[in-house]
Amino acid sequence: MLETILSRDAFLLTIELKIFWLIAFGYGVCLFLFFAHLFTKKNSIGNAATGILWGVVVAHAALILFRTFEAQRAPFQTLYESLSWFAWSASITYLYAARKWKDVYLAGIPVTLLSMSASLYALLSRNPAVEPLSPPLQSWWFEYHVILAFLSYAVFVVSCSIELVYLLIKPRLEKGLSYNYGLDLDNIETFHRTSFKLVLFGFPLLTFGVFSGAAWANDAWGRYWSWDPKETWSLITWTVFAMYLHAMTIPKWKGLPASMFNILGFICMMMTFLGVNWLAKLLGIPSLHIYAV
Amino acid sequence: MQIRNRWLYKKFASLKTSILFLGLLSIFYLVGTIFPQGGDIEDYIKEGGRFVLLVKIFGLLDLFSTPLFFITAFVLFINIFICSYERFLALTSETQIDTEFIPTHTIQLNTKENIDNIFIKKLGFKKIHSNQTAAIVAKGLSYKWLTWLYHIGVFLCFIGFFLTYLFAFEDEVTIYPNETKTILPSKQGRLQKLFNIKPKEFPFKIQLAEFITEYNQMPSIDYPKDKLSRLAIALGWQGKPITYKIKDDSYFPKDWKSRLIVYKDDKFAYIKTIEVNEPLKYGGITFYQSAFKQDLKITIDNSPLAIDAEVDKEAILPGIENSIVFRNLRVGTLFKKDGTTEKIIPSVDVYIVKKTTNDKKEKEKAGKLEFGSSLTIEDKAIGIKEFKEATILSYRYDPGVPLLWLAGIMVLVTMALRVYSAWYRIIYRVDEEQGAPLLKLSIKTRGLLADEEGMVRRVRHYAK
Repeated sequence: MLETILSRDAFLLTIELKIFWLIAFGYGVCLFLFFAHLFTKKNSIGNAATGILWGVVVAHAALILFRTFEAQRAPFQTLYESLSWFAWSASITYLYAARKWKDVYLAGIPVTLLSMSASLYALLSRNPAVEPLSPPLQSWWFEYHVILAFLSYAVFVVSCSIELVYLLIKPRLEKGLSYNYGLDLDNIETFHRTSFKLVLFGFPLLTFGVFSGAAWANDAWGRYWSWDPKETWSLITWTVFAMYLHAMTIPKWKGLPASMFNILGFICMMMTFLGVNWLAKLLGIPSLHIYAV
Repeated sequence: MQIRNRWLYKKFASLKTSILFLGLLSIFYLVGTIFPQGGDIEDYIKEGGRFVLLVKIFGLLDLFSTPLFFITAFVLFINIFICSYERFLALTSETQIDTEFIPTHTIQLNTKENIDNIFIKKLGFKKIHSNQTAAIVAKGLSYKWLTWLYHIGVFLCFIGFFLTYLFAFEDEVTIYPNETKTILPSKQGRLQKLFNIKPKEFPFKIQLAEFITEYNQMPSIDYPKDKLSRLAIALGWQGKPITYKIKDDSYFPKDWKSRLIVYKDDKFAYIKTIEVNEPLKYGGITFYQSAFKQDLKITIDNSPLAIDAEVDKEAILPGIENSIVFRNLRVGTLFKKDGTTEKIIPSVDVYIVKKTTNDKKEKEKAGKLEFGSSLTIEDKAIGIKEFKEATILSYRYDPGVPLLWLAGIMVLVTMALRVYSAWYRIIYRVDEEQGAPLLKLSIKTRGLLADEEGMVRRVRHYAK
């Protein structure tokens, strides 16, 4: 009986890994096509990349459901699972944000690059084994905290991508260069405003992430705030995005300074998600979030 | 008020000050992740810390309790207070319509219906002002009030943090099964410490009725760690299938629970089984399932005299030259992969601690010792005579938590409403041009769900 269960689990994991490799490859194909669009300036290639990305995202959603079935719980416990969720949520957010843009594909480059990198990092470096939930994670906060915090991460990824495209294209437009990848003086500000709207959408989610994390810590560890590196970096991310949102209300700071805060917020978000584990390891600082590595 | 015209007040009421101090706090946070908070300076030096002088001067190992951090946070607190006060004054002042009303949309009015009725009855707007120039209607929760409310929430959070900082304390208590304990905290809040107020014994006792440990059977995976092998498997170049295996030590903590009984004035008062994420709250104190302690009584060569040993600590056993460490005492229930459960035969891993040539200690596994059997070390047969597990509870008094709950919910709800819910304000008037009535309006929206074009379409529809 036990042998049968173990063989079944191994079989399911093998299938899962094969599909995940295909998905990572799919993100790679999209990245290649978005780059091809950058150099060839052909909208048909950008369109094809978007179409394929839709397919990859649907397949990835199915894979996440598959993992949920396989693990019999929400698939966000290990870094392997979080990376998969992050890759998927970033890409779906991009596709949702891009649905109204006509012939604008540049923001797809950083998004698919991140989705592909996250998938490859999970596949090549993390343990894919399905593990039971450890006692601190057995809480009803688990799903809400992780889903909403990661949704905010996805939103910030896309916002930063738009910001980068804006900073790249705006000077070209001001110089009067002819081809600007679907953007012109009429639509670039509307396009850029999407970046602000995304942060606006993600900020309450991140706030919920920070508050729910504190409430959860209060139940599990008896202290709502321990200045643990992961907690502190989430607070840094929150503070930087708060600075961005405030800067957007000051007319003189709306341009480059606000854009810089947005990009800095993204960097802090990546630190919270991945960099902090590396930093804690490098500096030998113990972290309560050890299960997240 | 004269104070509102002063330079300093204006600086404090400025958004730029908010950004500046948010930035400064971020730098503090950043530094706090580089230096281990709560660490000891001696340990820092011992581990080769390179910034000893800076650490000492700025108290970098307890950065979030330093005066510098407090001053920065306090300035931001004052800034939020003044900004909120200014915003409140603006909110309670009367709405004015610009005499220079610049309409952004002009709609031909073909209906005989009163335009106010269209806005109020058909579109659900509320009239907030009107004069000879134009009228103002609004729909949705006022974004200005919502913005003000979540800033007040943040302000209350600061007060909550401060209450925690002043009054919170925490400590630990170890209780054995069937033992009843009176608790006298050895620690106290910062303010009590400052005024030298001695901690008081809690007016209740706690008994551990039962301690339960549970494990899941966790198979380990046979899958390569190196990237190239994984890639080879993915490409089908390496045929070895992925397998799961159950090993002897495939135990993964499922849960540990303490059934606690509270007695007040020696009478039963309350009972609760606590576990991680499920604390006991009683008399203003919260008790958390923190850890557990495991003790053994070890026999040597079946001698009736047993030696006390604590799991994870070095023990000296008579007749054995090296010290011994017992680890991973497994007792309780195992939840197996096939859905069945079994009582674990108590066992412990035994390590011999050997001194190396450079005076360091090395642990070498001697074997697994099961209850009822023996293990031979240095010609001595050691066995387990008795074992027991005690619960370690951490307890905490924190008067900041209720306020933080309230403030946190306030921030989240009002911020979510401000950001997502739709708010519209329309300023309009009806002009006649060449005998035809024209509805001129300007529209302002807030909230991600607001649809300006959609609203104009609806106005057009009713104006037909």
